[in-house]
Amino acid sequence: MNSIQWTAHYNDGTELRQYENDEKRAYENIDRAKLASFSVFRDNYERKLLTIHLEPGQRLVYRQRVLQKLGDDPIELYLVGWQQTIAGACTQSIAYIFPDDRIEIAGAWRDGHAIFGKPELLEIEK
Amino acid sequence: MGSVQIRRKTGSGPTATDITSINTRMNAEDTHSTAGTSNPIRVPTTGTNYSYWATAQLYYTGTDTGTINNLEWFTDGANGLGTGVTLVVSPANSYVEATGTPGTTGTQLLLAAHAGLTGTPTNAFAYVTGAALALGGSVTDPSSQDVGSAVVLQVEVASAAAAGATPQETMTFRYDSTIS
Repeated sequence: MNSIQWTAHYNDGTELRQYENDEKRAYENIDRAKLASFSVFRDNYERKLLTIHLEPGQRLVYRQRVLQKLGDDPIELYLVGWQQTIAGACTQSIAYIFPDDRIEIAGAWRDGHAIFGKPELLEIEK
Repeated sequence: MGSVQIRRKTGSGPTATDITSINTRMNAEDTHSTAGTSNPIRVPTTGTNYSYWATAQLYYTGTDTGTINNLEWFTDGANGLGTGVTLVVSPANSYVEATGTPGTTGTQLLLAAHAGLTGTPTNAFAYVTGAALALGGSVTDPSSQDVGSAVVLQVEVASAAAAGATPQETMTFRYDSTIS
């Protein structure tokens, strides 16, 4: 499987890489108070796929979404985007990265959809 | 970084078998096999016979930081098991060993027979992508452990069924992870 690596870029010029110096950092440990953008890569950071630039109030959402059919290889998608609350209503823009690196972008979550369905948001994403 | 498996649980232990990359046969015995023929479900002359119920659950192997949640399960929506053969499913939040009469029938999967079920077993082929069976539960910072609720499946065989192995059916688990 060709998984993804991420880097969080902060507004003070520093960054947090998911993998660095044989250490792995957790998505949950990204400092969202100073998060400016978020990039994802393949091939051990050699190939950048996408960067999301966040405006104030936009909350990063990132997931690996896996469909595992019995007897088959898993299909891995990655969701990268943001959610924002405006006047009490949540809006979002999410890029869906497919195994062949095709990227599709969608707004509102689609109820029950295996790919475009809503993730269970973490407290840090709400 | 670890990985997620689909495991089938059998026996009193229970014994957990990684079936992610293979098939598993549902017979009138509480055993995983890919092609076992020792204890088939007997086609009844009247009424219904059952497989022993089969318990399948996601399992995280390894240790990591992050969350796995938003579990669901679905089929292709078409019962390809043949005339007189159906499949029912329900989520379960605990394991209960399957029972029955080997080589004849399993105990019918009912709420009264399986204390872990979270709903009445229903037609498995009604659960398809876009209308999947939601599985409760999640795991944070997993360390070689089960993930979320299990699915419990049972084949139902009516007198109209033909003898012999049915065509194979498949199932899909979907989950989200921040571990990647």
